[in-house]
Amino acid sequence: MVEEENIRVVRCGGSELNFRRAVFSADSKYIFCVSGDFVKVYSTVTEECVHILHGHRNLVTGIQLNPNNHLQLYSCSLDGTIKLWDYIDGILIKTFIVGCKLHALFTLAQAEDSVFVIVNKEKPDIFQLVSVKLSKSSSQEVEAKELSFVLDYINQSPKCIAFGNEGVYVAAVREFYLSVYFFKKKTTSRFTLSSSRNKKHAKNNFTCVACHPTEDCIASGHMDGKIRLWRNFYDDKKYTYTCLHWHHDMVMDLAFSVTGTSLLSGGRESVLVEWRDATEKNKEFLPRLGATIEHISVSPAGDLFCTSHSDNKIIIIHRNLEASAVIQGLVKDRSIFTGLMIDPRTKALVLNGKPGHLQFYSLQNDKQLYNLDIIQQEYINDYGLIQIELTKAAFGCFGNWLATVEQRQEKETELELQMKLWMYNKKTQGFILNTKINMPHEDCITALCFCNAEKSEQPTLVTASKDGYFKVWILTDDSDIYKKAVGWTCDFVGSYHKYQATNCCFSEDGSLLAVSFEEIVTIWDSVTWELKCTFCQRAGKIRHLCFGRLTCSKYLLGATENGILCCWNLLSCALEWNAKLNVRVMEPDPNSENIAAISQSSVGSDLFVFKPSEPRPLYIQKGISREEVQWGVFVPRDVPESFTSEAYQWLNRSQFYFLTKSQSLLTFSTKSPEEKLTPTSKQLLAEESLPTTPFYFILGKHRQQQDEKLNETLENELVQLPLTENIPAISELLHTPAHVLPSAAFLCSMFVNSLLLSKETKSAKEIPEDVDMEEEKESEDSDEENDFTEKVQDTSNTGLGEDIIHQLSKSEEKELRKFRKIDYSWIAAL
Amino acid sequence: MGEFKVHRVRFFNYVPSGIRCVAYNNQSNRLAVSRTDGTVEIYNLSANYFQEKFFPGHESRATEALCWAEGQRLFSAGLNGEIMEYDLQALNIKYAMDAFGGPIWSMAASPSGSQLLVGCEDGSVKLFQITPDKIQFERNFDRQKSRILSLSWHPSGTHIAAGSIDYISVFDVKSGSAVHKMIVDRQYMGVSKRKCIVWGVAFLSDGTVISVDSAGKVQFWDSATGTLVKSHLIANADVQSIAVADQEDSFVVGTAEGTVFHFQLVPVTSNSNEKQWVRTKPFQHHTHDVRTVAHSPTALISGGTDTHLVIRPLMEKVEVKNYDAALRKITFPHRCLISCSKKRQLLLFQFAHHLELWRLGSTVATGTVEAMCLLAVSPDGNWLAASGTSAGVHVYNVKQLKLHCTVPAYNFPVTAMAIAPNTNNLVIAHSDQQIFEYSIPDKQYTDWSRTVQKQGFHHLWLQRDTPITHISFHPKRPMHILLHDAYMFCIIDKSLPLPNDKTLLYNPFPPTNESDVVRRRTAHAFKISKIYKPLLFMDLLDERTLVAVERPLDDIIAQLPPPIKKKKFGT
Repeated sequence: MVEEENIRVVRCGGSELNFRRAVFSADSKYIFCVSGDFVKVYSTVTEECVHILHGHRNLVTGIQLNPNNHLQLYSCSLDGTIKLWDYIDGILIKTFIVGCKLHALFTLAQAEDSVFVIVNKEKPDIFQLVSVKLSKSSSQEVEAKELSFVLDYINQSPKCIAFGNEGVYVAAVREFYLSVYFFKKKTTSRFTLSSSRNKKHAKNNFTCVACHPTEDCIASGHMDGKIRLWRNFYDDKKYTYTCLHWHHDMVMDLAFSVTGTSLLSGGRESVLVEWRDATEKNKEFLPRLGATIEHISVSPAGDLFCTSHSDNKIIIIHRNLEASAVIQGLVKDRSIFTGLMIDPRTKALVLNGKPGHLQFYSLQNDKQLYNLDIIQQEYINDYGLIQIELTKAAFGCFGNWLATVEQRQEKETELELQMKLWMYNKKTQGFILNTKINMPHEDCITALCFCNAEKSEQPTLVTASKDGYFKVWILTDDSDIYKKAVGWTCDFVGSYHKYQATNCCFSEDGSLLAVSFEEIVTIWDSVTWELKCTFCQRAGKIRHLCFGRLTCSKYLLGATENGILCCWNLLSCALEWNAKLNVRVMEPDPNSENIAAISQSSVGSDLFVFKPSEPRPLYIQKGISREEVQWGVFVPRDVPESFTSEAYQWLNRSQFYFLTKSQSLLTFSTKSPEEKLTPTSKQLLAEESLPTTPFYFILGKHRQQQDEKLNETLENELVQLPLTENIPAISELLHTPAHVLPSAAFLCSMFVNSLLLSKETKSAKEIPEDVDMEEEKESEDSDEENDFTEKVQDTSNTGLGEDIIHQLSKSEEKELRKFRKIDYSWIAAL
Repeated sequence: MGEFKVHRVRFFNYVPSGIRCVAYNNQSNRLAVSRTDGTVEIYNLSANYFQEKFFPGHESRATEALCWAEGQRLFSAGLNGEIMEYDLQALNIKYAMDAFGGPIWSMAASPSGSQLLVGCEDGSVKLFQITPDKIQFERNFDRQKSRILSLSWHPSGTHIAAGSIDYISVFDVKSGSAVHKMIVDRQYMGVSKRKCIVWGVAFLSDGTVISVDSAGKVQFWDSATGTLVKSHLIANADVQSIAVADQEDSFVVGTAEGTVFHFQLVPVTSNSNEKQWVRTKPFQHHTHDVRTVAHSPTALISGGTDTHLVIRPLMEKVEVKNYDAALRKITFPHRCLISCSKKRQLLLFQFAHHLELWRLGSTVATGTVEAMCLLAVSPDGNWLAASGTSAGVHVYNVKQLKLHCTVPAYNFPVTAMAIAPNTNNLVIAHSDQQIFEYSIPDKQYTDWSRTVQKQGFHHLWLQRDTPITHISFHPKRPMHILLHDAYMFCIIDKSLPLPNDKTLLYNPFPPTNESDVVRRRTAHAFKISKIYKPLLFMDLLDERTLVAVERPLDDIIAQLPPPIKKKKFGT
């Protein structure tokens, strides 16, 4: 039973991971990135999200490691607070309330008790860099109002500020200026580039800045793709710079490696360039990164780089310029033509992704599952180039078929149109191109739909086009003497008085097809393709068309451009009811009779949920979004909820997601945000120590299960714990005063050894049995893995003794961890 | 002003020779430039970069090295194996001396200026003592296997560095033996597998040797240990020249791709004394190989196959923003290579080793022959004005064959002068763009000249960077003076008011449809036309006909060897 609060509109993932530079932990095991109001902690090895740090009430604008404690993370947000986190456990340690909007955060090891933030205090466009003194008081919430001003009139973006040479100076760029402020001397040097040097297109604007970690050298990126390395900038006159030029377009970000021997740059070319020794001739490339590089960051340990891309992706790159991991969020780079769809197999959200691709996005994990390349052509990234756009897509036959339409229209008369039909292949677990149809219509395709009736014997697809026709495509046998094959062919072409076909829709049982021709709705028999009847309301062109479901399957709904929603009764062939509603999105719930309609007004968007059988809505929520809602979709729930309240019943079996014009993916929730967004997979923490190699899959599973078994047995033993008091090492440890004890690391091995000896014989017996049991299980699972398991058996038999000792020490360590907790209680008792 | 019929002459097939060496003399602020045809030119950098002196050359005397020694003495050496000294007063070659080592590839004067070192084809390095009137062979250093292409003295004069093929040797001057042999990597990041030619070396006072080579590298060596310290790959082609500033805080290298790179010694951090050499700015002012570079205290000077002498001032060293702070490109000689016979309608073209005489189309001719250059004869034949390399101008009475008067001395050399017909006024143009009019009969400056001096010239007039090479007069309009430099042709109308700094200097001839009032208001004494450029010569044939000789740069470049092909992005 779920507690019923108010239904709220919540963001559901899909927020930008590339908003700010990602930050590595000191040991390079984790990478942190801002994601809307949260900070996400990913494992750099497994790409999994380990923690979501939530607590900010507005967009998080900056994260930095605490320079004095590398296990802590600072974050700042537009809500005016700086928060300090323990990222390993995902705990909020402290909140510093600054009180004004914070746009970026910088930390310096030299400035121990203060951090630097970008604020705008007076005028909206004037940003200042200030240092904030963080008081050391122990309370959870601390006011931090002690601001001291550093630089004025700076760029809002944190890419335009860089601290150099152990905090001796700070460099800031804006438009054509580079200002360098020296903290000790309290002086500012300012260097100006001429805005249009003699050439018409000289674009000298600064775009980003980075400082060399050990030398006095500032690297700045520019609009025209140049990188300038400034030196000798103490003097307004003697300063000098050198140019590195490879990028042909704006330099998006720059970063020096930890030692300063190489400089990394990236831009719209999607190529990471490493300038070694800062020389023009000595450079290395990592090309084909897929999308514009927005940010570059370097791990403090120096072994990893990472690039954030405009398609909401973070790539983790090894020092030798090999991409090692990809963290991909929802791609939101471009406009969505296909709308939101649900893949019936994976329940993933499907929509336009990278150029020419369909992306499959898991709503549960906020993670992109995969990309399907539809257009299958090299994407040429250039302004003003008219690209092939993926305009329509539809799933049919329970996810067995996927139809896509791509078009490219350079001039009014030159339309390139292509329809592709993809078949799901169980073996490869992916879609394979089955049929490609060039110019299926003479004009743009406005709608396509599959007949999804359960009993339909033949997959059927209908396309409606502006050329005035709708076409019915059916799957036929395409076998020849070489192979058995199936293919799609056109079965029927229908039209109605040369009007443009705007929408098409099959009834739930597949017996009827509704096609709207501008203002007229026509109903066709799907067996004989006869025109059964027409509806015409003269209320403007039909924008949306859908049949009712389940008990309401006798109704047909149509929304017109003039803001009228009509419901026709198919039995009486008459208008049942109509309502004045400017419908933008109309989506039927596949699991119920409900239909969601989102209307657009000047104030915002409103949601109406209704059944076609009655004109009174079940549920109304006003003002779900201030901007225009473009697409919506019902997603069936895995586990149905059980709301009793009438207003919320429509959310029982499906969840409604919608996408606004600015591409934020929103949904309705009754839970509090904390509850909703707790990570689903806590067990991932255990994985962090094990790299996912092929060996891991063979051996790792066994180990885990062995460990679990061992833990069980050890837990049993723990009951007899008081006996351990007899061990001299422990008694010594407990009786010696704490201040004269040697370091814990030294004691640890002694402590572990003392425990090891007593249990060797006992556990050695148990383990082989476990291994055998596991192997039996495994062999049942699949035939393919048989080979591996046999090998495992071999190795485990031969090297049994050593293996067990190793296992033991590991398990003992685990025990130790538990032991420690018990230790404390002990001491208290003593 | 009136309209003229113009003979636009473009058949003067003059191709300047490529620049081989430049040598900068700090004491006199003069620059010696030698060209591939053996010509040596002396530029006075103080006098607005005017080409003061000139030694005609010969193909057989092609210079490979040029240097100043003992103050103001200029030496050159070439592939004919001879060392030559030039007499800068008499403008001739003082003597030539065979070094007996085969062709000479390099030469360097010792820091004290008393010794001269030459590197020869046979691998020998020969030391000469400079005596007041000659040079004297002193001794040979250890002979190397291959030719010595570059030489540099340590500022203390104790050691020298010699660049050869594939290695650099360091010699002890006292013993004459090689102390170190530093092998240059033939291949750098797979650029070249051929022999690596060390085109230039520079020895710094801290013992660092900088070398530039044919693999495109600039390398820093420690001469004490003979080890490579740092290497910069800067070009895909040869780096052919290097020059270090006297303070040793910056140096300049030139590459075969036509790029000149500036290197500077900058502190690593503000609070440490550690300094490092950093490549700073590239300059692409040449299209062809930069064969030679020089580093004056305020400018980088480069020259090469494309025949331009480029002087790029260092902005941070320039105190005042005057015309010294502008980039200069000197292509044409600062003297008139063309004379014109008005009566016979002939043009005489002066080439390096021959003359060409051309006849123009038929027109009715009046007027007289005028000799130009640094001599000027009055049209009536009574007076002769002569200017030497020193700035004074002497006027002689030709009839009586005695000195008539001397024009008051002026600091800047004379670039052109002429005597007006009828009035016998001597018009003198100086390298700082000043113009004087001196009345020979009255032995004093004319009133017009005094007003001009009082008011001063327009600032844009003074900022022009090529000297006036020719002055002539209109036979019917005594108030007009016609003069030109390489980029403009000007008629000075002495009857009109002078322009001040607020008026437009380069105003186009006002359109005829404007009212007379407007025309009168905008009119001033200087009528300038920039239609013809680069203009080598312009004169009046008669009162209605002009002859203009142009030499388009494209035509010169078309006759040069093709430059190194470079891939240009987007092509």
